[in-house]
Amino acid sequence: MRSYEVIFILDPALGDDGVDAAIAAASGIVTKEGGEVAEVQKWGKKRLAYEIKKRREGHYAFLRLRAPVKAVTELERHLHIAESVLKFLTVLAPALRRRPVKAKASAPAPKESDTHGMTVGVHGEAVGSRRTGAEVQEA
Amino acid sequence: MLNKRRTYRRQKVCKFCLDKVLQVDFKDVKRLRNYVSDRGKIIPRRISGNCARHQRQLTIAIKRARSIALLSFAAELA
Ligand SMILES: [Zn+2]
Repeated sequence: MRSYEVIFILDPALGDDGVDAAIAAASGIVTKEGGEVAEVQKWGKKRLAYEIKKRREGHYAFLRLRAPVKAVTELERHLHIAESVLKFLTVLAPALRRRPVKAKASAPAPKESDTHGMTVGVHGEAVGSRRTGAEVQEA
Repeated sequence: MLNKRRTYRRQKVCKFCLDKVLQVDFKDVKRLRNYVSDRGKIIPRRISGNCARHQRQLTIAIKRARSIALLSFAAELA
């Protein structure tokens, strides 16, 4: 399980209920595959910086997930297929952490955590919760 | 030796460091806008004064924002 942020742009022709339905469909897939949707944001109709599928604006929807890889691939497959989705973006939202502490030998190695690898991501919140590297992180 | 002409350049500082930003957010378009030219190019840190770490994060954030149409790749032809 890792945290992800998913943004997708929906057809501007969609009404409010259409947007809600699309978000519900996306969240449904995530929960079905064993993930959880931690946060949903509707950014409303925004002007696009460039034309996508001949549209100049779109409804932005933002989801923050905690989900297994399978749920994310399934969600992406769905977003690819869905007609009303103009474009989408999935990024990893890494757990906030500070630089790893140099003295590796003395500090107890944190338990298997998913902080390594390609965690060049973004976050939106919890700026206050910095960790000192010496603390053992909860997995 | 002939350094009489001391240039008084304003000290450039990293705005992200000042604000204690831990991770530059690609959703923060308002902020990212300050770091692209009107053509849409990323402003080098030589100009903006960003520190290396934040500039690195910033470029990634800008590229992400571009890919989801929050920022443009290039200025449109007039
Ligand atoms: Zn900085």
